[in-house]
Amino acid sequence: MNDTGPDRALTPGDRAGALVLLAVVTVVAVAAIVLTRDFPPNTLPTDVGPARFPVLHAVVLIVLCAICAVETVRAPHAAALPPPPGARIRVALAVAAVAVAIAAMPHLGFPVTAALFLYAVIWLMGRRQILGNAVYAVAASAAIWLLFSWGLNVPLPVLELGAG
Amino acid sequence: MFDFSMLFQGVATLASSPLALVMAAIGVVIGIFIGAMPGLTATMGVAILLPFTFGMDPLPGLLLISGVFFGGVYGGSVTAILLKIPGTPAAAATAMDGYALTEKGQASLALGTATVSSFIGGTGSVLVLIFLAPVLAGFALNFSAPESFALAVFGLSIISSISGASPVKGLIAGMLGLLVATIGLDPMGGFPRFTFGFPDLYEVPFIPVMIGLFAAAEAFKTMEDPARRLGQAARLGRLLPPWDKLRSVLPTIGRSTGLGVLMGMIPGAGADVAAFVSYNEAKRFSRNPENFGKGELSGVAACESGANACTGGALLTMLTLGIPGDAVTAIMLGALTLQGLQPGPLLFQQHADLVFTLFAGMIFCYVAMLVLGLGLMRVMGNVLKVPPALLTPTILVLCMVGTYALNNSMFDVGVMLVAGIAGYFMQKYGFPASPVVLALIMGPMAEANFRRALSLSNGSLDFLWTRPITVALLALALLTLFLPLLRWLWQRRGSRHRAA
Repeated sequence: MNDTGPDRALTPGDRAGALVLLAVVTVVAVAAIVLTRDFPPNTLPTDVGPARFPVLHAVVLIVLCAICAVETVRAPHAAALPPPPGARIRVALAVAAVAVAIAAMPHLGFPVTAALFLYAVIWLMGRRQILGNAVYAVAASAAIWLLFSWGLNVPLPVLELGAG
Repeated sequence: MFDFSMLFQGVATLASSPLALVMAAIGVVIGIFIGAMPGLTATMGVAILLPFTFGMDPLPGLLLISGVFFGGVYGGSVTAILLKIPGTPAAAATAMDGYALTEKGQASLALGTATVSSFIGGTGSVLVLIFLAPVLAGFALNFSAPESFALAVFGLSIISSISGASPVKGLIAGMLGLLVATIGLDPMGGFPRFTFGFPDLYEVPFIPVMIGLFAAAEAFKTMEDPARRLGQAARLGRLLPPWDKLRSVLPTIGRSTGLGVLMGMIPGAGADVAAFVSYNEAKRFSRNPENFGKGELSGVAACESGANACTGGALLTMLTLGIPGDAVTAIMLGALTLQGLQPGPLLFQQHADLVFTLFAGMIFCYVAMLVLGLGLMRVMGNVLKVPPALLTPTILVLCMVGTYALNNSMFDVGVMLVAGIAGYFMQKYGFPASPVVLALIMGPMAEANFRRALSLSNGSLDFLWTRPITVALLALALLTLFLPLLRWLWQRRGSRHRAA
């Protein structure tokens, strides 16, 4: 974790990133308050209703985000260190790979999806051993599938040939 | 006067039942494994193994389940310490200092201390169960909605002490967790809040969020720099902690054991609550509170002893009153009933021989956990030697499959991914993830019990200041919440004066 307390120096990237994050959280909190307007009114005289707690949390969250934004803007400036080459693209591709795996798993089944996912992400992490990576990907996905399906009775999705 | 002869007789009966001993050891191994896997919980392990016990005699069957329960609570710490992947919600607290120790190359010390602390906490709680069950059982009955609300508020106040460098960022993370915790069915009226038509969101997807925030976020972080390795952390040295280190954390273990037993007895407050509360108290009593979160050994000892001590507390109310303290003991209650045993005060009179043999078996489970835990750790520690290029993708697959296994739901896996992305950015910009997990545990408990208490008192807020336990817990919460904030403001003021 970056130790970015309010009095710690921030790089321009960290400052901008923290402010964007605070803005996103504020938008979520405002949206939550707006959505609670559709909640049913309190019908019990001895209850506070379904909206009270979310609104309370959202209001406190907005106040805290404002305080933190001021602290972030006022924090001293620090020089930025160059990130490892390709860091952002690798993270973005890894996130995309997980999303694709989630979408593909119900259709391709767990063993096939996991093997393809493992192969792709191992490649993404810079290990360029075509055969070795493939053997590991197939072996690891098969081991995990056997463990969960047979050992723990978890019905993982499987590719059903001829289905549909 | 406690009848020691029953206990000795129980030990003798257990010693003459090798099948029960083997089942206890098998249960512990299965429990450690299940606990170590993200997404798999002790509850799931006990539920899976329950049908296998139907054909067994009561003693081996119940010890198999007890072994899974105890091993499951402890197992979560292994991956929390080695990989910052908490296998269980309670281990999210252990990950804070445990992983920091691994990064410093002290994985052996952290793992060994976690194992010994779990053993002492768990064994201590079983001893409390044996000797003080009838006395303490009444205490749990004093906890109704107002006290549970106050306990949840006290739990939430811990956010300020697990916030790291910036309390404001910790509070933002905590409030965000509280807001997320309101997703699902309204606890009083059953109205779906923020569910957007998805039935999967009727209950807060707590474990997928936890797996995403910790495990997936850490994996994404590793993707930034695949060449980064834990270096010397990959070598595991002596696993049994040196005596001087152990002696320094013994008071923490003792205190956390007491807290864990009490937390276990309170319905709704399980090992996760106990771990965070114990962590907070360890920090409060520490001479070096600033070291917490940066690899403080007493932080690991507190969480593990507190979480494992919960097991005895939860069993205490289940066996003496028939009230399960958590989901696992609820399943165990069913297992006892299926074996023809009716939990409650009469259990100790009508089946005293079996009950005391079971107690002896539970202590054996913890001894087995100590021995097998230290042995298995040598094997599990090898995970650090796996190159990140293979380990990180495998962790992501385990995150997906572990999350799916919870409810057989791909929706949950999607929630895990969203939480992973959020956790990655939170980590990048200095927002701690632990307050979110704590808020997700305590938020629903606080809201439901506040509104229940309000209804019970006909809309009056009197319950906040007329019930001694509630007042004590709320006072403790205020103290916990504001002391670090005041300390932080004081230090900030001091540093500004110095800079000027």
